[in-house]
Amino acid sequence: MPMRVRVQRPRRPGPSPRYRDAWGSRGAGAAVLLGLALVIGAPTGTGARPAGIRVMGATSLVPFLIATASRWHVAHPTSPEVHVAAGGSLAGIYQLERGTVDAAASDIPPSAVLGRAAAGWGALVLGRLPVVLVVHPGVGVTRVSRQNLAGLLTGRVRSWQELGGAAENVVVVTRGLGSGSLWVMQHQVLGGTPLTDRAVVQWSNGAVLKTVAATPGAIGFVDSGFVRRSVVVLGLGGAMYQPRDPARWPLFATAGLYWRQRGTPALTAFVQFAARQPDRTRFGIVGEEATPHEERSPRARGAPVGRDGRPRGLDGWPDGLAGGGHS
Amino acid sequence: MAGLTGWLVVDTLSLLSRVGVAPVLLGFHFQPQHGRFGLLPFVWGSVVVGVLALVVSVPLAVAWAVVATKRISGRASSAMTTAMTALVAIPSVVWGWWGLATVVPAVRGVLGGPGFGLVAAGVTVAIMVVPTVAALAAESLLAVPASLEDASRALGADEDTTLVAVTLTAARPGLTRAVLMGEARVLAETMAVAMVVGGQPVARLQIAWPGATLTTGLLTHLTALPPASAGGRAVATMALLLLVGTGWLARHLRRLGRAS
Repeated sequence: MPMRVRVQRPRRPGPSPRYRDAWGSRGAGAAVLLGLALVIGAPTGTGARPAGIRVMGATSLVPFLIATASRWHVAHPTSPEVHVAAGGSLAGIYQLERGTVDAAASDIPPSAVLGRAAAGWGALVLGRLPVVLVVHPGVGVTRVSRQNLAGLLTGRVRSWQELGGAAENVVVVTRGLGSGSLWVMQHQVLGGTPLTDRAVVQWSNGAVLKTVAATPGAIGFVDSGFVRRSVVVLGLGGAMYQPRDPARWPLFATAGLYWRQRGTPALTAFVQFAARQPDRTRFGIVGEEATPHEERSPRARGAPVGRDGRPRGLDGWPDGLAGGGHS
Repeated sequence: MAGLTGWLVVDTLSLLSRVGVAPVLLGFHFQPQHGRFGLLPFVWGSVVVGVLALVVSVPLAVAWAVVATKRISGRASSAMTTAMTALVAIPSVVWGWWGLATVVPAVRGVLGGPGFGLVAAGVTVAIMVVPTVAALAAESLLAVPASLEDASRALGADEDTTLVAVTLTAARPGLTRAVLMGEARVLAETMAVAMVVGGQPVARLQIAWPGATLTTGLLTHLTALPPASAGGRAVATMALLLLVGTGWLARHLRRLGRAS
């Protein structure tokens, strides 16, 4: 007689009957929440702002841009919202070239980076950003010549004692590639020579300042708006940075807002609004009257350019940094 | 994933064909603004930080796991296990901050120099991964059958001999997996390392001085170098090297999983 074997099917994993009701009610709850999220998140017919204006670039200009954007939102409640993102001058320029942002805030001229590709871009020069030399309070030196500064930054001067200061080894603190203040040092002080490869690289003005304040023998450079009492400001030759008279300080970057050829009416309006802001000095931006103009190519500025129209020599970044050049 | 890898391979081949294999893979300097694309500093930095992290973290983590699971019991053991879990959850930026406040000055005081460097980065991430490795090691120690340890004691072995000859030996595959998991986290760590490493892309033997790793190189150069340029392709090559390194570790982890 054949034996009948009853095979019991394994139970499917899942909630036990005890919890089944609870699972059901949770599912319903999740559906309600999803529905609410869709309703709340949907764009409303009235009172909604149009697509925003995206601005990206130099961290030193971000405080000014955020303050300007806040005022813009108050003054123009129905105009597009302005979104400001840091990332560095180079990042802003490259993102503008690629069309992922509407405007770039930079303290490096776009034509020095992109050459002809940036010719015709709209530009608003906001003013000068003095780049100030700061040292640890214990170095015992308050003033250096340009030659000594170059020696310190390139690693030729190893100890502050060589300049009549304390017996402390020199520690150079610098910003990373793409920083406007580094660009100023390399082009206005070092003539294109790289900084010492023993320098500590920091991401932001604030990080440079903190590192200089905490590291014996440290020297760094920051935008003037970031100087604090925890460090000593170093004089250069006959000049000493004075917050009341910043225009006399010889080391500075030119801060600007840049946009591609066909800016939207909202962008144009925002740029004109930024140009009218009177208190730029509060954010460390000094000097020139802000007037929108057209960015010129390096050739038009009389700077050396290669066959592809990209800048060459000290005026610009060589090939390793140059982008695709599409515009 | 395949698409990303393919894109990285294409960019890498493009860079190697333009600049050359040796200047890229064996070059001591990464200065894209001067046409130098040596990636050795980043590879060297990753290796040094990885080895330092291993040397510092493994003894601490295994000791912690042994004490928590085999030497104490009751509330003290529970408290140590809870502490492990809690510390695992601390974000890496907090560990970086801690490294900035304590490890950098300590390295400056002991070894001289600015304090920022590969040593500071290695010590910071080593302490960061100790709870992770300890938690995984504790799991593998608890999985060792008590009967094995009882048999060892019955044969006259003392506690230390039992621990070394029986418990740790039996738990070796799990312990190795814990160490490799910790190492994978060290290699992939970006924020904590970037805060203390000094960011200088130069390969040198003085590891107390500023350096860079593959992850910090990616972080700092990704936005500064446009994708279509040689610099951008160098960044893609860094990412590919990192993928290859972590892929190699993952392969070993899988092999260990099958073996145990």
